[in-house]
Amino acid sequence: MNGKNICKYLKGVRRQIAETNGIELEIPECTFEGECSGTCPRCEAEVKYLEKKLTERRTLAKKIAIIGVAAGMSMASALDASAQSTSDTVRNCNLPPDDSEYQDAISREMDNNTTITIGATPVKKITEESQILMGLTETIIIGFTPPRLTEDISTKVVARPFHGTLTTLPVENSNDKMTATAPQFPGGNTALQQFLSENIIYPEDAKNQQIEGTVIIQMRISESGKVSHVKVKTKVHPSLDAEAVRLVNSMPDWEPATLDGNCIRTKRLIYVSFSLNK
Amino acid sequence: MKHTSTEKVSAPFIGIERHRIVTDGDGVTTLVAFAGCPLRCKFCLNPHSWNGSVEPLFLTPEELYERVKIDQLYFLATGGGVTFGGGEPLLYPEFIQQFRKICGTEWNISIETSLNVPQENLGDIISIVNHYIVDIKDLNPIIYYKYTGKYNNAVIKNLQILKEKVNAENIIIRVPHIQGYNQKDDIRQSIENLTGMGFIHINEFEYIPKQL
Repeated sequence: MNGKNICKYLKGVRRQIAETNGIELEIPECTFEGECSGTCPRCEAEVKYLEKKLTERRTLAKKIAIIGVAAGMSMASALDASAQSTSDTVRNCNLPPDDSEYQDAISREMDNNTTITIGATPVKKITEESQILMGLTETIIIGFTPPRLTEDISTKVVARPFHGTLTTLPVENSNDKMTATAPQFPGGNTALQQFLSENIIYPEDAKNQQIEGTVIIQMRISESGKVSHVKVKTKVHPSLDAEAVRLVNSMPDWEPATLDGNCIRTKRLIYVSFSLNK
Repeated sequence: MKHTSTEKVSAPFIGIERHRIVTDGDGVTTLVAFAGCPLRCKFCLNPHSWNGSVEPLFLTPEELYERVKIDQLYFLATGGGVTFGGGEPLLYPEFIQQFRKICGTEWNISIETSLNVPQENLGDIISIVNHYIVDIKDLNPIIYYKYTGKYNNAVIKNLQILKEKVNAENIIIRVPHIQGYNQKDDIRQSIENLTGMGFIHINEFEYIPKQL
């Protein structure tokens, strides 16, 4: 299923949710003509808008319906509905009139190429490289598609038809249970929290401006436990971000992760919290 | 995996794919792929889940929830949810248990599995998973061993447990044609045995080799 069709399907779901709950939401036809993952910051902003409106209705003790409102919706019906919607450019579409947060988010998406935050959830501008990863920037997941040969099988293994009762091979598996162990800071998680709180230096400018928050850092831990490739995944403020990076870079070596008994290189998230009320 | 009783559970992941539509079951699903697998299938779909070519990201159940909840509205509206695959998700039953506690009961959780895991792993999650998609490769133990490098004793035991404890409507058994490993008669036999065990949704499909 291509990205455009996914997008149309998801629009259909959003439309159904809005209609069922009496929420005004005009969804213009998307005229973007590049490769598309099926979503974009605008689509994500529409979801957030719907969630906000549903929460408001719930708060006002109004009935809401979400579960199953679009269950069984077929791709064909979603594409039909999309074809009937008014066509407009994404930039010039009619936005819900009273939601400034929604409009701000869309404007930022239009004008710059940075991560935008709607509510508490970072919504990254979808690029070709990051389209389905949303945080796992170096991995690609393959869906359930037929595999390709990775080796020559010109010498075929001919399996004879097997009849009768099932039997198993005489030799049982040895105790070869697959295990994976996460990378560990020396002394464990408690020691990690202690390291962060004892070594953090609250930047003066952020302190003066009363800026608080949690910077989420992603780092690589090598097969030997070395910390590297430290980068900010969720920003708060440039000074806090820089301090979080400095702090994580100053960490001692970790116990590396293992998979199937072998040390492996992994990535991990670290949450560096800045709070003025300690 | 837990380190000590005070450490949080975490598991290694190789990828998260959003907005899968009617691929892993009903509705809009997010596929979450674990690293690690007990098998070494010759035509593995995702060899990077076990061959070390991709560095996995360790996440706690809370961290995973924070990543996937962005699509909660779609999950609820369409009857979708999260599908755990990989790799072999049943290597991480504790993680899945904790994830279910966090996400609540309204999300569908599906598992794509080989079932080649200890019985207790299946037992730990059997009451919290909604749908199972099982790729049995071939029930002939010799063919199975030649294709995967492992025995299928555990698969057969787990199939029996699954049939006893789970509604057959919620189980899909996938029986592949594996060029060079099984023939039509083998596949027919596997299907007959599965039908005899009581499975009703059996999906025969083809591993299509790339043209060399």
